[in-house]
Amino acid sequence: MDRRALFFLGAGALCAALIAETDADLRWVPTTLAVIYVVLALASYLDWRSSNR
Amino acid sequence: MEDLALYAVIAIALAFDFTNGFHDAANSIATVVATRVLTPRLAVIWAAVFNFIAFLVFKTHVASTIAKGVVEQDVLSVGVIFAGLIGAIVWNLVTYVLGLPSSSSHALVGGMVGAAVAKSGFAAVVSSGLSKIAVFIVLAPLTGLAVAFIFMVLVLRFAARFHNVDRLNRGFRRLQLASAGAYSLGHGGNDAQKTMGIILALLIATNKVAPDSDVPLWVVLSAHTAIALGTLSGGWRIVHTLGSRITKLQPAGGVSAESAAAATLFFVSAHGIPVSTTHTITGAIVGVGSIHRLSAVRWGVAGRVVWAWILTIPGAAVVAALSYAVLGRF
Repeated sequence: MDRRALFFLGAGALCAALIAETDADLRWVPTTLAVIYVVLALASYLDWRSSNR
Repeated sequence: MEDLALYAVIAIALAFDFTNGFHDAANSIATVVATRVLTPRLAVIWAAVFNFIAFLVFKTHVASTIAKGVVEQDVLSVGVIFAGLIGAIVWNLVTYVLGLPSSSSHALVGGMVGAAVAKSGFAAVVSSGLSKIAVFIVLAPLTGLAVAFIFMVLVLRFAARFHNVDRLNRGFRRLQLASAGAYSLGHGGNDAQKTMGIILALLIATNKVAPDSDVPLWVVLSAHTAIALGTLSGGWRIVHTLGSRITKLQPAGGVSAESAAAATLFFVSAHGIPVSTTHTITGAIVGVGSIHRLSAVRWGVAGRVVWAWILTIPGAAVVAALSYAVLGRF
Protein backbone atom coordinates (compact mmCIF):
# COMPACT_ATOMS: atom_id res chain seq x y z
CA MET A 1 0.00 0.00 0.00
CA ASP A 2 1.49 3.36 -1.02
CA ARG A 3 0.74 5.69 1.86
CA ARG A 4 2.21 8.69 0.04
CA ALA A 5 -0.21 8.28 -2.88
CA LEU A 6 -3.11 8.06 -0.40
CA PHE A 7 -1.85 11.18 1.35
CA PHE A 8 -1.70 13.10 -1.94
CA LEU A 9 -5.14 11.83 -2.88
CA GLY A 10 -6.50 13.05 0.46
CA ALA A 11 -4.88 16.45 -0.06
CA GLY A 12 -6.39 16.60 -3.56
CA ALA A 13 -9.83 15.75 -2.18
CA LEU A 14 -9.48 18.49 0.44
CA CYS A 15 -8.56 21.05 -2.25
CA ALA A 16 -11.48 19.90 -4.41
CA ALA A 17 -13.84 20.27 -1.44
CA LEU A 18 -12.67 23.87 -1.01
CA ILE A 19 -13.34 24.91 -4.63
CA ALA A 20 -16.96 25.85 -3.93
CA GLU A 21 -15.97 27.83 -0.81
CA THR A 22 -13.34 29.91 -2.61
CA ASP A 23 -14.00 33.34 -4.17
CA ALA A 24 -14.73 33.10 -7.89
CA ASP A 25 -11.58 35.00 -8.89
CA LEU A 26 -9.36 32.62 -6.89
CA ARG A 27 -11.21 29.38 -7.59
CA TRP A 28 -8.47 28.32 -9.99
CA VAL A 29 -6.09 27.93 -7.01
CA PRO A 30 -7.82 24.96 -5.30
CA THR A 31 -8.77 23.56 -8.72
CA THR A 32 -5.14 23.58 -9.91
CA LEU A 33 -3.95 22.19 -6.57
CA ALA A 34 -6.51 19.37 -6.70
CA VAL A 35 -5.30 18.41 -10.19
CA ILE A 36 -1.62 18.61 -9.12
CA TYR A 37 -2.27 16.40 -6.09
CA VAL A 38 -4.10 13.79 -8.18
CA VAL A 39 -1.16 13.75 -10.64
CA LEU A 40 1.30 13.46 -7.74
CA ALA A 41 -0.76 10.62 -6.25
CA LEU A 42 -0.71 8.77 -9.56
CA ALA A 43 3.03 9.34 -10.05
CA SER A 44 3.71 8.26 -6.48
CA TYR A 45 1.65 5.08 -6.91
CA LEU A 46 3.43 4.19 -10.17
CA ASP A 47 6.80 4.84 -8.50
CA TRP A 48 5.82 2.61 -5.56
CA ARG A 49 4.55 -0.14 -7.85
CA SER A 50 7.69 -0.17 -9.99
CA SER A 51 9.98 -0.29 -6.95
CA ASN A 52 7.98 -3.16 -5.40
CA ARG A 53 8.10 -5.45 -8.42
CA MET B 1 -8.36 60.18 26.92
CA GLU B 2 -9.39 58.53 23.63
CA ASP B 3 -6.03 59.47 22.11
CA LEU B 4 -4.22 57.90 25.05
CA ALA B 5 -6.18 54.66 24.56
CA LEU B 6 -5.44 54.80 20.81
CA TYR B 7 -1.69 55.15 21.36
CA ALA B 8 -1.71 52.39 23.99
CA VAL B 9 -3.46 49.94 21.63
CA ILE B 10 -1.09 50.90 18.78
CA ALA B 11 1.81 50.11 21.13
CA ILE B 12 0.25 46.71 21.96
CA ALA B 13 -0.21 46.00 18.22
CA LEU B 14 3.45 46.82 17.57
CA ALA B 15 4.48 44.65 20.53
CA PHE B 16 2.44 41.82 18.99
CA ASP B 17 4.35 42.40 15.72
CA PHE B 18 7.66 42.35 17.61
CA THR B 19 6.83 38.98 19.19
CA ASN B 20 5.86 37.67 15.75
CA GLY B 21 9.36 38.47 14.45
CA PHE B 22 10.91 37.07 17.64
CA HIS B 23 8.94 33.83 17.35
CA ASP B 24 9.11 33.29 13.58
CA ALA B 25 12.74 34.20 12.93
CA ALA B 26 13.75 30.56 13.31
CA ASN B 27 11.59 29.61 10.33
CA SER B 28 13.68 31.64 7.93
CA ILE B 29 17.13 31.07 9.39
CA ALA B 30 16.68 27.37 10.22
CA THR B 31 18.40 25.89 7.21
CA VAL B 32 21.15 28.50 6.75
CA VAL B 33 22.19 28.01 10.37
CA ALA B 34 21.87 24.21 10.32
CA THR B 35 24.08 23.96 7.23
CA ARG B 36 26.52 26.59 8.59
CA VAL B 37 26.16 28.90 5.62
CA LEU B 38 25.83 31.76 8.13
CA THR B 39 26.38 32.05 11.86
CA PRO B 40 23.13 32.41 13.86
CA ARG B 41 23.83 36.11 14.46
CA LEU B 42 24.50 36.89 10.79
CA ALA B 43 21.49 34.79 9.78
CA VAL B 44 19.07 36.80 11.91
CA ILE B 45 20.51 40.06 10.57
CA TRP B 46 19.97 38.67 7.07
CA ALA B 47 16.34 37.74 7.90
CA ALA B 48 15.65 41.05 9.67
CA VAL B 49 16.91 43.11 6.72
CA PHE B 50 14.59 41.26 4.35
CA ASN B 51 11.71 41.53 6.87
CA PHE B 52 12.22 45.28 6.83
CA ILE B 53 12.66 45.92 3.10
CA ALA B 54 9.50 43.91 2.30
CA PHE B 55 7.56 47.20 2.33
CA LEU B 56 9.40 48.19 -0.85
CA VAL B 57 8.14 45.06 -2.63
CA PHE B 58 4.55 44.48 -1.50
CA LYS B 59 1.53 46.73 -1.65
CA THR B 60 -0.68 46.88 1.44
CA HIS B 61 -3.50 44.57 0.28
CA VAL B 62 -3.17 42.28 3.32
CA ALA B 63 -3.41 45.28 5.67
CA SER B 64 -6.57 46.43 3.89
CA THR B 65 -8.11 42.96 4.27
CA ILE B 66 -7.42 42.96 8.02
CA ALA B 67 -8.69 46.53 8.49
CA LYS B 68 -11.73 46.39 6.21
CA GLY B 69 -12.41 42.79 5.21
CA VAL B 70 -12.92 40.88 8.48
CA VAL B 71 -15.26 43.01 10.57
CA GLU B 72 -17.78 45.67 9.48
CA GLN B 73 -16.10 49.06 9.85
CA ASP B 74 -18.91 50.69 11.81
CA VAL B 75 -18.42 48.09 14.56
CA LEU B 76 -14.72 48.80 15.00
CA SER B 77 -13.70 50.77 18.05
CA VAL B 78 -10.61 51.02 20.22
CA GLY B 79 -12.30 48.66 22.71
CA VAL B 80 -13.11 46.03 20.05
CA ILE B 81 -9.58 46.07 18.66
CA PHE B 82 -8.04 46.03 22.15
CA ALA B 83 -10.19 43.02 23.13
CA GLY B 84 -9.27 41.35 19.82
CA LEU B 85 -5.56 41.82 20.51
CA ILE B 86 -5.99 40.48 24.04
CA GLY B 87 -7.79 37.44 22.61
CA ALA B 88 -4.96 36.80 20.14
CA ILE B 89 -2.21 37.29 22.72
CA VAL B 90 -3.88 35.09 25.38
CA TRP B 91 -4.61 32.38 22.78
CA ASN B 92 -0.96 32.48 21.63
CA LEU B 93 0.23 32.10 25.23
CA VAL B 94 -2.16 29.21 25.94
CA THR B 95 -1.17 27.34 22.78
CA TYR B 96 2.51 28.03 23.47
CA VAL B 97 2.11 26.31 26.85
CA LEU B 98 0.15 23.44 25.25
CA GLY B 99 2.74 23.06 22.47
CA LEU B 100 0.18 23.72 19.73
CA PRO B 101 1.80 25.49 16.74
CA SER B 102 -0.98 28.02 16.37
CA SER B 103 -0.78 30.94 14.00
CA SER B 104 -0.58 34.51 15.35
CA SER B 105 -2.33 35.64 12.19
CA HIS B 106 -5.31 33.33 12.63
CA ALA B 107 -5.42 34.29 16.31
CA LEU B 108 -5.56 37.96 15.35
CA VAL B 109 -8.42 37.38 12.91
CA GLY B 110 -10.25 35.22 15.47
CA GLY B 111 -9.73 37.86 18.14
CA MET B 112 -11.18 40.64 16.00
CA VAL B 113 -14.16 38.49 15.02
CA GLY B 114 -14.85 37.46 18.63
CA ALA B 115 -14.70 41.01 19.99
CA ALA B 116 -16.88 42.35 17.16
CA VAL B 117 -19.48 39.59 17.64
CA ALA B 118 -19.54 40.32 21.38
CA LYS B 119 -20.30 43.96 20.59
CA SER B 120 -22.81 43.68 17.73
CA GLY B 121 -23.64 40.05 17.04
CA PHE B 122 -22.80 37.95 14.00
CA ALA B 123 -23.91 40.69 11.59
CA ALA B 124 -20.61 42.41 12.47
CA VAL B 125 -18.62 39.80 10.57
CA VAL B 126 -17.75 40.29 6.88
CA SER B 127 -18.47 36.68 5.96
CA SER B 128 -16.90 36.85 2.46
CA GLY B 129 -13.61 38.15 3.91
CA LEU B 130 -13.60 35.62 6.72
CA SER B 131 -14.34 32.71 4.39
CA LYS B 132 -11.46 33.76 2.08
CA ILE B 133 -9.10 33.73 5.07
CA ALA B 134 -10.51 30.41 6.34
CA VAL B 135 -10.09 28.71 2.94
CA PHE B 136 -6.46 29.83 2.69
CA ILE B 137 -5.70 28.59 6.21
CA VAL B 138 -5.81 25.18 4.51
CA LEU B 139 -4.75 26.10 0.98
CA ALA B 140 -1.56 28.03 1.86
CA PRO B 141 0.25 25.07 3.52
CA LEU B 142 -1.06 22.69 0.84
CA THR B 143 0.29 25.04 -1.85
CA GLY B 144 3.66 25.20 -0.07
CA LEU B 145 3.68 21.40 0.19
CA ALA B 146 2.90 20.76 -3.49
CA VAL B 147 5.27 23.44 -4.81
CA ALA B 148 8.12 22.27 -2.52
CA PHE B 149 7.60 18.66 -3.62
CA ILE B 150 7.75 19.68 -7.31
CA PHE B 151 10.82 21.91 -6.70
CA MET B 152 12.51 19.00 -4.94
CA VAL B 153 11.79 16.61 -7.83
CA LEU B 154 13.31 19.15 -10.24
CA VAL B 155 16.32 19.70 -7.96
CA LEU B 156 16.97 15.95 -7.69
CA ARG B 157 16.73 15.52 -11.45
CA PHE B 158 19.18 18.40 -11.90
CA ALA B 159 21.51 17.02 -9.21
CA ALA B 160 21.54 13.57 -10.83
CA ARG B 161 23.42 15.07 -13.80
CA PHE B 162 26.19 16.40 -11.56
CA HIS B 163 29.21 14.26 -10.74
CA ASN B 164 30.95 16.76 -8.48
CA VAL B 165 28.84 16.47 -5.30
CA ASP B 166 30.98 18.94 -3.30
CA ARG B 167 30.55 21.62 -5.93
CA LEU B 168 26.81 20.94 -6.06
CA ASN B 169 26.48 21.28 -2.28
CA ARG B 170 28.46 24.52 -2.33
CA GLY B 171 26.05 25.83 -4.97
CA PHE B 172 23.00 24.95 -2.89
CA ARG B 173 24.53 26.44 0.24
CA ARG B 174 24.89 29.74 -1.64
CA LEU B 175 21.38 29.46 -3.04
CA GLN B 176 20.09 29.11 0.52
CA LEU B 177 21.06 32.74 1.10
CA ALA B 178 18.70 33.76 -1.70
CA SER B 179 15.88 31.39 -0.67
CA ALA B 180 16.09 32.37 3.03
CA GLY B 181 16.07 36.04 1.98
CA ALA B 182 13.04 35.47 -0.24
CA TYR B 183 11.19 33.68 2.56
CA SER B 184 12.00 36.50 5.01
CA LEU B 185 10.73 38.98 2.42
CA GLY B 186 7.45 37.04 2.17
CA HIS B 187 7.25 36.74 5.95
CA GLY B 188 7.75 40.50 6.42
CA GLY B 189 5.31 41.24 3.59
CA ASN B 190 2.46 39.15 5.01
CA ASP B 191 2.94 39.31 8.78
CA ALA B 192 3.90 42.99 9.22
CA GLN B 193 0.83 43.92 7.21
CA LYS B 194 -1.46 42.30 9.78
CA THR B 195 -0.24 44.82 12.34
CA MET B 196 -0.60 47.60 9.77
CA GLY B 197 -4.19 46.44 9.27
CA ILE B 198 -4.90 46.60 13.00
CA ILE B 199 -3.41 50.10 13.27
CA LEU B 200 -5.29 51.24 10.15
CA ALA B 201 -8.53 49.91 11.67
CA LEU B 202 -7.78 51.86 14.86
CA LEU B 203 -7.11 55.06 12.91
CA ILE B 204 -10.35 54.63 10.94
CA ALA B 205 -12.34 53.84 14.11
CA THR B 206 -11.08 57.02 15.78
CA ASN B 207 -11.59 59.15 12.62
CA LYS B 208 -7.87 59.89 12.31
CA VAL B 209 -7.97 58.77 8.66
CA ALA B 210 -10.78 58.37 6.13
CA PRO B 211 -12.35 54.88 5.83
CA ASP B 212 -11.13 54.49 2.24
CA SER B 213 -7.60 55.71 2.90
CA ASP B 214 -4.39 53.74 2.34
CA VAL B 215 -2.05 52.71 5.14
CA PRO B 216 -0.05 55.81 6.22
CA LEU B 217 3.71 55.53 5.62
CA TRP B 218 4.55 55.87 9.34
CA VAL B 219 2.37 52.82 10.02
CA VAL B 220 4.10 50.83 7.27
CA LEU B 221 7.56 51.74 8.54
CA SER B 222 6.77 51.16 12.21
CA ALA B 223 5.23 47.71 11.53
CA HIS B 224 8.24 46.60 9.48
CA THR B 225 10.63 48.03 12.06
CA ALA B 226 8.85 46.14 14.87
CA ILE B 227 8.93 42.78 13.10
CA ALA B 228 12.57 43.26 12.04
CA LEU B 229 13.60 44.20 15.59
CA GLY B 230 11.75 41.14 16.90
CA THR B 231 13.63 38.95 14.45
CA LEU B 232 16.94 40.56 15.47
CA SER B 233 16.40 40.17 19.19
CA GLY B 234 14.80 36.75 19.29
CA GLY B 235 16.00 34.72 16.38
CA TRP B 236 19.51 33.90 17.43
CA ARG B 237 18.30 32.28 20.63
CA ILE B 238 15.78 30.06 18.86
CA VAL B 239 18.21 27.87 17.01
CA HIS B 240 16.52 24.52 17.49
CA THR B 241 14.90 24.70 14.15
CA LEU B 242 11.55 24.00 12.60
CA GLY B 243 13.43 22.17 9.88
CA SER B 244 14.94 19.55 12.16
CA ARG B 245 11.72 19.22 14.17
CA ILE B 246 9.72 18.08 11.15
CA THR B 247 12.27 16.39 8.94
CA LYS B 248 16.03 16.55 8.53
CA LEU B 249 16.85 19.06 5.79
CA GLN B 250 19.87 19.16 3.49
CA PRO B 251 20.85 22.36 1.60
CA ALA B 252 18.91 21.30 -1.52
CA GLY B 253 15.81 20.60 0.60
CA GLY B 254 16.20 23.92 2.41
CA VAL B 255 16.35 25.81 -0.88
CA SER B 256 13.27 23.98 -2.20
CA ALA B 257 11.21 24.46 0.99
CA GLU B 258 12.08 28.14 1.42
CA SER B 259 11.57 28.95 -2.27
CA ALA B 260 8.19 27.19 -2.29
CA ALA B 261 7.06 28.95 0.89
CA ALA B 262 8.32 32.30 -0.46
CA ALA B 263 6.44 31.81 -3.75
CA THR B 264 3.26 30.97 -1.82
CA LEU B 265 3.63 34.02 0.44
CA PHE B 266 4.31 36.32 -2.53
CA PHE B 267 1.13 35.04 -4.19
CA VAL B 268 -1.19 35.39 -1.18
CA SER B 269 0.25 38.80 -0.25
CA ALA B 270 -0.36 40.07 -3.79
CA HIS B 271 -3.99 38.94 -3.41
CA GLY B 272 -4.39 40.51 0.05
CA ILE B 273 -4.84 37.22 1.88
CA PRO B 274 -3.44 36.98 5.42
CA VAL B 275 -2.01 33.49 6.00
CA SER B 276 0.12 31.76 8.57
CA THR B 277 3.75 32.02 7.44
CA THR B 278 4.69 29.27 9.91
CA HIS B 279 2.10 26.84 8.55
CA THR B 280 3.17 27.67 4.99
CA ILE B 281 6.83 26.81 5.62
CA THR B 282 5.70 23.74 7.62
CA GLY B 283 3.74 22.54 4.58
CA ALA B 284 6.76 23.16 2.35
CA ILE B 285 9.08 21.22 4.70
CA VAL B 286 6.60 18.31 4.75
CA GLY B 287 6.64 18.44 0.92
CA VAL B 288 10.44 18.15 0.87
CA GLY B 289 10.41 15.46 3.57
CA SER B 290 7.90 13.33 1.69
CA ILE B 291 10.00 13.20 -1.48
CA HIS B 292 11.55 9.87 -0.46
CA ARG B 293 9.03 8.37 1.93
CA LEU B 294 6.33 9.62 4.26
CA SER B 295 8.08 8.14 7.28
CA ALA B 296 10.78 10.84 6.88
CA VAL B 297 8.15 13.31 8.12
CA ARG B 298 7.48 13.61 11.82
CA TRP B 299 3.73 13.55 11.52
CA GLY B 300 3.15 14.50 15.15
CA VAL B 301 4.20 18.09 14.42
CA ALA B 302 2.26 18.22 11.13
CA GLY B 303 -0.82 16.76 12.89
CA ARG B 304 -0.67 19.42 15.60
CA VAL B 305 -0.69 22.05 12.83
CA VAL B 306 -4.02 20.61 11.65
CA TRP B 307 -5.45 20.94 15.17
CA ALA B 308 -4.18 24.51 15.21
CA TRP B 309 -6.06 25.16 11.93
CA ILE B 310 -9.30 23.99 13.49
CA LEU B 311 -9.04 25.55 16.94
CA THR B 312 -7.29 28.91 16.55
CA ILE B 313 -9.97 31.22 15.09
CA PRO B 314 -12.81 29.96 17.36
CA GLY B 315 -10.48 29.77 20.39
CA ALA B 316 -9.11 33.31 20.01
CA ALA B 317 -12.64 34.54 19.21
CA VAL B 318 -14.01 33.15 22.48
CA VAL B 319 -11.17 34.71 24.52
CA ALA B 320 -11.64 38.06 22.75
CA ALA B 321 -15.42 37.98 23.28
CA LEU B 322 -14.89 37.33 26.99
CA SER B 323 -12.30 40.14 27.12
CA TYR B 324 -14.76 42.52 25.47
CA ALA B 325 -17.49 41.54 27.90
CA VAL B 326 -15.16 42.09 30.87
CA LEU B 327 -13.87 45.42 29.46
CA GLY B 328 -17.48 46.56 28.99
CA ARG B 329 -17.98 46.42 32.76
CA PHE B 330 -15.35 49.14 33.34
